[in-house]
Order: sequence, then structure tokens, then C-alpha cells
Amino acid sequence: MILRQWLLICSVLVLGACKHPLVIIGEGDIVDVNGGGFGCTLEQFQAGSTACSVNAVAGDYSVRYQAVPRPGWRFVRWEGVPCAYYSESPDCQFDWTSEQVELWDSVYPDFDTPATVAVFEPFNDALDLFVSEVSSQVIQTQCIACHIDGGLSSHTRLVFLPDSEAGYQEHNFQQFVELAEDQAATTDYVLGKVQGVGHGGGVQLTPGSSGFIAMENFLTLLTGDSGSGGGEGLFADYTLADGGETLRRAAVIAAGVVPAPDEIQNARNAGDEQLRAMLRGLLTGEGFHKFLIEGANDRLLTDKWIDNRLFNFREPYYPDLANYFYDQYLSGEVMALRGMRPALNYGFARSPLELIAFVVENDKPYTEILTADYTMVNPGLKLPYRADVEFEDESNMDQWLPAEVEGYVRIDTTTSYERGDVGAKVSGGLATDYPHAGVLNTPGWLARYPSTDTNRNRARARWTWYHFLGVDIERLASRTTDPEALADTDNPTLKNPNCTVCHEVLDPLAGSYQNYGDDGFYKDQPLGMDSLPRLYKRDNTPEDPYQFGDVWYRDMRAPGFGDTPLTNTDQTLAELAAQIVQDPRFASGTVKFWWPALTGEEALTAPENTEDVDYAERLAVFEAQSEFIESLALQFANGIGEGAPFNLRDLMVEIMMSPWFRADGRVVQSEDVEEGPMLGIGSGKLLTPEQLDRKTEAITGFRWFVQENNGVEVSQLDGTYRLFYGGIDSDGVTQRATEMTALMSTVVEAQPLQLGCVLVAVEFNTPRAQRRLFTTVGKDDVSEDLIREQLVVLHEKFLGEEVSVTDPQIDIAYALFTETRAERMTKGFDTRLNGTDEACPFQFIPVAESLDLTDPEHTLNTWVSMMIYYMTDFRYVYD
Amino acid sequence: MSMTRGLKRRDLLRLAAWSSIVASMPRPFTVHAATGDNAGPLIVTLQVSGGWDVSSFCDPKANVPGEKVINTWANTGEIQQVGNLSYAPFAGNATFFEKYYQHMLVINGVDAQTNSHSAGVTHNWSGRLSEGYPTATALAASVFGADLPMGYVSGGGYQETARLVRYTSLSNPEGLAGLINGNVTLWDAEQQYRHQSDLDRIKRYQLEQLEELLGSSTLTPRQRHAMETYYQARVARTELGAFAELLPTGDELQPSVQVTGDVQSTVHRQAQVALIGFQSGVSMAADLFLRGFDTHADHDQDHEPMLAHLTDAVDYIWETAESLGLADRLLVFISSDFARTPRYNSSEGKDHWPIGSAIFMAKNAPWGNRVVGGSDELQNALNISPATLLHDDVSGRHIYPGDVQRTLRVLTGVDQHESALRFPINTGDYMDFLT
Repeated sequence: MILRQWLLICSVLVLGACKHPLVIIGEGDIVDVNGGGFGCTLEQFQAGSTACSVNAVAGDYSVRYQAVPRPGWRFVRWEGVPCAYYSESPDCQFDWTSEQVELWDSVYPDFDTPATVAVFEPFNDALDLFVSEVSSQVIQTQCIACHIDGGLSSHTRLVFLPDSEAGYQEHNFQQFVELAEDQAATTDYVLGKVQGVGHGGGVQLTPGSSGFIAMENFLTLLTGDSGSGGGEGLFADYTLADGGETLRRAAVIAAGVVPAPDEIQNARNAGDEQLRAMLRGLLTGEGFHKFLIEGANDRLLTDKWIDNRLFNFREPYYPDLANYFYDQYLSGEVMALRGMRPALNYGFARSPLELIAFVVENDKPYTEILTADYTMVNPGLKLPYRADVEFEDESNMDQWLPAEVEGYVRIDTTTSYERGDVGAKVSGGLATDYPHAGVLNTPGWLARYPSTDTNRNRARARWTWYHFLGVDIERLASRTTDPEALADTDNPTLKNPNCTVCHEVLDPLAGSYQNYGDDGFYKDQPLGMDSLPRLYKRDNTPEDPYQFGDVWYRDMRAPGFGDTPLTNTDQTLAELAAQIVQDPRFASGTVKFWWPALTGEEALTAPENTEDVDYAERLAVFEAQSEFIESLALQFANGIGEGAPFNLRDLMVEIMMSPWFRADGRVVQSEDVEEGPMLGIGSGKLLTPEQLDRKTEAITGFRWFVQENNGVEVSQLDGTYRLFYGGIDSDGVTQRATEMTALMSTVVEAQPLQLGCVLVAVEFNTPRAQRRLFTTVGKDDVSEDLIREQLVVLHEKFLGEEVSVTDPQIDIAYALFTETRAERMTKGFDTRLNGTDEACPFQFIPVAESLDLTDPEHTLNTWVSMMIYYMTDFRYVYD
Repeated sequence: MSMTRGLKRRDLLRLAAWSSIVASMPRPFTVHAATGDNAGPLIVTLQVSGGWDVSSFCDPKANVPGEKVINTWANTGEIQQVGNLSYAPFAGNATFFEKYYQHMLVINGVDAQTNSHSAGVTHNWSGRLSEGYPTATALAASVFGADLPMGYVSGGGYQETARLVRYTSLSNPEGLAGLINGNVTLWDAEQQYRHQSDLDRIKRYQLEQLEELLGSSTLTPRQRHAMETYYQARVARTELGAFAELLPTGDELQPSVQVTGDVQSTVHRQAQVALIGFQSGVSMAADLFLRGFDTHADHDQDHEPMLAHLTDAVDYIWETAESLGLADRLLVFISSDFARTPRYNSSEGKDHWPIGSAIFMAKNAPWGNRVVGGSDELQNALNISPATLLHDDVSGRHIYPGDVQRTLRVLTGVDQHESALRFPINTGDYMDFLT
């Protein structure tokens, strides 16, 4: 029956394809929950987009639509072509094979195509809206834990009834009615509270979330006051960087390149869509790859393992590795082992980061960072994983290929283990089909947040919430807590509302890591059945919670995600990953995850204290940013423009197109406005050491003295001086510096001091047509016109600004040039580069030995000074 | 970014307010007569990360019959007393308390009001649970060390500055001297890359560019702030030479120490570099950071060496300060996220407990050899009268981290300063722990 109805709707577009129009009545969206590229937004429908009117279907058509009402509206029903019988409203599911589609295409090519229709209608009144959207979704899930008789917030004006009591909705609605009668600006007041403003319960809802919107709509309907909407007009007196400046800045930050002048000019003349395409075109290549790795590591911090051994090579779980070390050591091949260690460290550290990069660079749905049924392998990991991959160069550890872990073995009665001085002799054991779950069960990630018998995976859960869902558990209830509750010893995390406010969110997700032991090994306990600690299992008496066969603690909440239990005891993490990527917070969490990499600042959190002097300004900026993030997240999940859902490069382009990235000037300077909240917005971002390193290479062709560190090339900036210059080590130092200090400025100076002379020497020993920098002057040219022209070139290359030869900035630079050269001549300084009193460190950089270093006119040495001048300019180290 | 031109006097004055650039224009670029002319306070705070067990330290607890064991050491040992201070016979406590009790003010029964690390850290180091307040060290540095090149240095932990001042990381002092003396070649201390007059000229011209850039009326807050901080850094950088001259190198640097299986501590090295910063006049406030106290498992095994390492580090601070002639001006403050449960869990660990302690230290301070506040035999906070500082269940209240931070502001002389008044701490009636 269902098949027949479906077949009736198909008509041939092309061979093997048909269409399935989607129609919206009222205001709402039809969302493809699984991110398969289908769906129809209200705007698309109103604009007559083919995403709605055609909705082309080719091949298998397995899709779950969800009707998502807009604020003030509710979903009523589906009409038209019916959903599969097992769809649960507001979902509408279709599951047909390509053969079924093609069959109908060939038999009935000319039928008109009926649509599936999502019907929405507006709410009648505030009570109606409250019952439909607020009561169960917000009050009974977010508020009731504290705002209940006997609860922590029973002294407040909002004390609710639980849904187990009769008349609870009317009672709870009346609470808001009474509040509105004696509380001025009720909408702002309540919305501030749910964001954590003066709220003992901390942050409960964020602007743009469905719960927040429901609450906002309800309060507006109830009070007739829509609130201050503090975010509106935030950028009204700001100017944005033009297309050219945006392109250059994006290129430096995200791609480690500097566009050619004609590309910048084209971008300057481009419309928004053309600029989007140009920005997207930047997001490729080695520089972008490094940007992705650094951006991901700034959050996940697994680079800690690059210089720290992840685990003991005697562990039996990767027997090929343990045996290799055992055998090599016995045979005296110690050097081979020394080479193996950094390759392994690098592999374990970078594998989760490389997975993210692989997903992004191949335009796979970003959801795959958690759902991938494979991992990323370098030559170091090939051995322990028994990965079925071949590398072009086994000695280059920075090659990565997707593969499955086939070498993981659990301990059982067949395991034979002989401990060696190095490694171990291991045989037997329980072969394991490693249940990949993207980043979540990579050894690097699991070990970065090790567990304990009492932590019980809560750290892993906390950071899973934070990094992949954008939820900071500790902010759920960071405020004053009842002392008696903190002293409660009767399993408070399960029973005491002071504690459950966090733990009911945290603990089920902790349970989803149930198969991974303290060090991150899968079912690491003897017999290979679970990862529960021996201490918990040791007294297996009827009174103890542990029962034989358990895989999780009975005195904790069961594994789950939100209200959804996770029941697959072997692949719990994979099941969790599937749940997470369907949660709207995954999309907004992704925006927040990548926000600092592009803007240099964390996404804002709500100000908590109304008495702060800049509270109003901070709230306004926070609200505006939150609304932007939530809006962008919705687009990201559904596909930005005509793009595919969950495409991270599309998302990055939209951030770079936004004023949060492009704000570049003010129309009017305001004297009286608190500017602190805007300090992290727009241009003026301090480049990271890695970004400055790539910028220097892109402009000059040189990195600052490259050395090899464990097989990877690093410069002074991203190696020796990385921490001095505000970088991180992913262990003790995990936050990048965003402001320059005197000490950091010494690094800014040191780079051109050591590199400038080499640059000038190489440039002037290269035919002019092939030079990067000195394209207008010869070695001995001293005419003012030529010098000014050259200064214009350097100004553009290093500082990214086009100026004329008569610009005052060129006047200043020319004055510096002439004064410097005059002093050299007056004081009789050496007429060579690398002279007796000014050293040029050629020994640290591979250049031709036969360079002409003579400098009879003192021009070369003067140009060295100009290198220092430009490379220590504010505009060079900030972007 | 693009910048328009047109210097306004207002902008330069604004810049000068914090960087003293006006005093240096057009030359020289010094903003502060270096090498020790800062006569203000010298402040070291030690952030004990993870939650320390004060029941085995400065708020010692014996075991209570009928209750779970609070401390294993209490099965055989007894609480010790020196002067007015009590301490637990554990780790290196005896040596430490015997040596320093006359210089110590111990505040017990401090209610952090949370068991969350991040909230506890924020509360204890800023004075309130909400985010956004600066550390007391940042406040002091903004008042007394704003024009110092490294007025505020940090070894990690809570580092909120509220943009009053910037902190300089102490993460890796090796090679620092070479970097500061950047014009000396890497391979020959007698050689330089450029003539110093050349570098001075470049800096002078860049100041002219600064006039151009900061003169714009269309800068965004971020652009303006970045420019100001950059050029402040460039100007103040000159003073770092005095610091570099005193910096130890190689084996002279305090080594990092493997305290427990997974704790590698650099706190001695942080202290060493911070104090040399004080000595050379480039710094006046330092936050030192020591992690490893979050002992949810095998508490005694791990906490004992951690506490011993902590007291050894404090001793090192004082001994070094004495040898450098700084001890008479030094204030040391020690605290943690919160404390640990007065009982062991199933893993022989101790979990989070909100009632902790804080310690002030200054040489021969009038408030030394003093304990205020307190907790009961099961480490529940007592209500303390703000007027008498005595236990008072009727009119008293708990001591909060805000009370401790208010005291720290008083001791550093910033409590009535405009900068501090922007960040009021409202814990109720002032508790004067000092008189």
C-alpha cells in the first residue's frame, strides 16, 4: 500500500530520478533530520526553491523529515503523500530503494507529482503556547528541579507543580501571570534568568535555542512586551572590510597564504556570492590543513601526546606493538625502537585531529567526525592497528590514510603474556571488531581525559558535552549551592537535586563510555567483557551493586543521551555518536568549536551579574552573537545556500562573511560607550605563532630557520619560541595568548633580526623578475622615485594595504630609509652584508654559497633595516 | 586592515595614561627607570590546583568515633600546635609550620559554595562565583605595575585580568635571556645582528606610525586595544635587559620535579623566575601554579608528596626572597579550589569538599601567628561574627572566598583604588582579619 502511494508521486526527471515536492502551510521548516541533503525551509518554499518544488530524488530515498515550527507557530499534521506508518509525529519518514524508484520511473513516467505537506498554525493565546511549547519542553525539564516546593528555588516567585499533579499546567502558567503583574520588564527579566543572569541555577537556555525561543514567544504573547532584544543594531556604526581585505585576512588566518594583488582586486569588486566562492576556494591545501589541525587541537589538546608517551608498550591490547618492541629489544635493535616511539606518539596525538581534517577536506558531512567507522592511520600506527594501508614513504609519519583497527585484542583465557624489559610477548586473546565512533574512541582522545574508579568517565563526558554540543556542564549550576547538599553522602549525584542538576545530564553520557577503561582501552578487564574496575567488582555479594555480566555501575544512571537510553553494550559510543549528531546542539556546538580558530576569541558566554559596570553591553553582544550562532547552526545542519548539510567549509565561509569577522572600522567613535565587550570582534586578531610563521613564508618564501623535530619540520616560531609567543603545549599551557606582552614582542623582533639579512641577500642575488619582494629596485638604486615605488610594494606585501608613493606612510618609510643609509655612510659601516659588525646567520638557512654580499652603496643593509621595520609593524603581527 | 590617518591628542593621552609614552617621546623609549625602583608591594600567590586537603594541613582533623575515618594519619598521630597555629602531622608540615608560623595568617572554614572546579577556582581567585573579575594580583599589577614590562607574571591557573593589565607566562624560561638580548647572535655573544642605533631608529619611526594609526577616529575597539597593547609591549620591552642579566641559565634554573606518577611540577622554577623579575624591577605580582591535588583515588599516597612539595616550594620562595633582599616587601597568598571530603571513598581517595582554607604570609607581619574562622570536627564551616571574628551561630555567617579576597586587596593596597571599586565584592559586613 505504502509503496503504491509512493510510486504514484514519482515522475521522471532524468533516468532513475523522480521528484517529491514539499509544501509548507503556515510558518515552519521541513528539516532532514539525518542531514542527507533534503529538506525545505520556509524561505526556500516562499522563494519557490527547487529544494521544495522539485526535491529531486535519485537512488535510494531514505529520509526522515521533521516539521519544525517557527516561533509562535505549532506543527499540526502532515498532509498529502503520507509518511511511513512507523513515523512518529512530527517526523515523516520515507524508505525506498533505488530499484523501487526506478521501477516506477520506467512504468509511469508522466504522472503529476503530489506533495507532502507540513501544516503549521499559530497559537491562539499565551496559555495555548505555554501548554504546547513551554510546559514540557522547558518547565518540566529545565526548571522543575529547583523551582518546586521544597526545592532550592522554593523561595522565589516561580514555584511550579510537576506534571504528575493535576492542574499543573494551569498552575504553572498562573505563576508567570502573577510574576508579570509585579515584575517590570518581565520578558527581559525571565530571559535574563534562563541565561544565567543573577540566577542560582546558572545557564539553562541559550538565545536561539528552541527552548529559549519558545520562552521568548510565550512571554511576548503573555505580556505584550517582546523584550529589549539587545543584539539588534550591534554593528550599525561599524564598517566592514571590503572583499579584498576580507580575502587577504581570511587567507592569512585560515590558509596560510597571501593572495596575489589581482585576486585581491577581484575580491574587492566581487559581489557577496562571488566573494563566498573565493573564500571557499582558499580553504584547501597544506596551510588550510595545518589550520584545521591547530584549530581542532586548540580544543581537543591531544597534541599533548606528541611529546608524551601515551601508554606503556607492554600493554597487551595491541600485541603486534608489544611483540615488536619485545623482539627488537632482544635482538639489540634499540635504534629502531627509538625511531618508533615518536612515530607512535605522533600517530596517537594527531589521529583524532587528522580525522577531523579528513572529513572537512573531503567535504564529508561534519557529523562523520563522530560517526566515522574508521580512524586515521600514519606509518607509526599501521603496526599496532594491523591497518590495511600502504604508504608511499614509511618514514614520513605525517601521512594519513583512513583505515580500521584490526589489531586490537582483549584479554581472555587464551591470552599468553610474558613481560619483557621493553615490550611484552603476547599471544592469543580475543580478536575484536573495534567499534569505531569517530574521534570519541581514538586512543588520543580517551587518554587525554583519563578516568578513575570514582570519576567514572565523567571527564570524558564533560568534554564531549563541551566540544561537540557546546554545553558547559559546570555552568549549569556554578552558583551558590546548599552546604548540606554538598555534604550529602547518600549517593547525591543520583538523588540530591543540588547535584542532579548537572549529573543527570553528565552521568548518562559518562555511561556511554562504559566500554573504555581508565586508560582508554576497550573492555580492558580480564575476560574482555567490561571495563569496570576491580575494586567495584571485587566483593561480588548479593548486597553489592555489581552483578556478574554488568558492564556499567548500577549505582549510577544508565548509559544514555538526554532521555534516550543507549542499549548497545558493545557499541555504546557509536550509538551515542548517532544521537549527538542528530541533536541541534551539535550544529551550534560546531560553530562554537571553530569560532576561536577564525576570530581569535572564544564564543561569548552570558554575563551573570547585573551589577557589573558593563553588564548591559556584554549582554547585548552576547545575545547578538548567540542569535547569529544559532541561526548559522540551523543553516549548517540543513545545508548553507545550495550546499550540503554539515559542510564545515561552507560554515567557515559564513563566519568569515559575517561582521564578527569583518568588522574593520567605526563610522563614529563613541566616547561614552563601554567598549570592552567588542574587544574580540573583527580585524585586529593577534596571529598565532603558527599563523605568523605561515604568513612569513607566504610573503618571503622563507621560514625562520627550520629544524626537524621528531621527523616534522618546525621553524623557530612554531618550535623553539612557540610558547614564548603565546602558543600552547596542549598540556600545562592550553590557552593561547590573545594580547601582546613585552616578552612576546621580543619574538616579533627576533624574527626579522635573524631572517632579514638572509632575505635581502637572497632577493638581490635573484633575477628581478623572479623576486618576491624587491621587484622595482636594483642593488645599487638610490633614486627617490624607485625607492618609494619599492616601499609601496613592501607596504602592500607585508601590511596588506595599497598606498601611493606620496602617501604619508611612504613618506615616513622613505625618511627612515634615507636616514638609515646616511648614518651608514657617515659612520663608515661595513659595505657588505654579513660584515664584521653586523652578522647574517647564513649557517641556519640553506642558500647558495656564492651570494654577492657586497654593498657599496649601503642599500642592501638599509633594506635589511626596512625588513625589520615592516616585519615588526603592528599590521604584520595582527590581522 | 585599513587605517585612516589623523592623530588626535586625545588618543595619545589615552595611550600615555598607561604606557607613559608621552614621557618617552620622541626619545628615549624607557617608560620606567628599571632595576628595582618599584617600591610597592611584591606579591606572590600560589594556586594549589585541584582542591587541597586542609584537614591534613592547616585545619587538621582527628578522627571522630562513630564516624568514617577522616584521616589515616589520625589513627596514630595527633594534631600538632605551634604558636597559635595547629597543623596535621603529615607530609612536611612540621618543618614548615615550625619555621613560618609567626609569619602566617590562616583562615579556616572558608566556604567555596561549590564542588565544581571551575566555579571554585573562579570564586577563590577573584572573590565571586560569577566570571569576569580579575585576580587580586592583576588588580595590584594594574595599579602599581602598569608600566612594568612584566608587571604581572603567571605560571598558569586562573589568569583573569579583566583587561586591566596583561600577564606574561612563566611557562618556559629556558632560552629567555637569549631572546631578550635578541640583537646578540646565537653563536657569538660578542656579535650582533644590527647596530643598536639602527634598531632604535626603527622603533622611533614606528612610534610615528603609531601616531598615524591611533589618530584614526574610526578604529574598532579591538584594533585600538591591539595597537595600544602592542606598542606598550614594544616600548616596555627595553626594560627587559635588566631581567635578562639576572636570569639563570642551564643548570642554574630550578629543575622540574616529578612529584607523583603524573605530576611534573615547575613551581620552584616559576618562583625563581618571578622573584628575579621582582629583583630586576620588571615585575611586582606573580601567580604560581601547582596542580596535582585532585586526589580522588589513593589520596594519602599522592597528597602527601604534593603537600610536601607545596611547603617546600613556599620555603623556597621565602629563602630565595631573603637572599635577593626582597623578603621584607613580599606578600605570599596560598589557596585552592576548595578542599577534600573528611572521609575516604571506595578508591581510598577523597572527593570535593567546599569548606577549605587560605593562608597569608608576610615576614614579621602584625597579623602573623593567627588563625581566624574555623570548621567543626567534621569540617563543616562555622558561622563567624564579622565584628568579633568569633564563632557565633546567632549573628555570624560563613567566611567566603570574597572575604579572603577583600583582605588580599587591603594587603596589596588596592582596596580603595578606582580599579578595585569597579569590581566590588559583596560578601556582607567586612571581616577584618588583620587587626
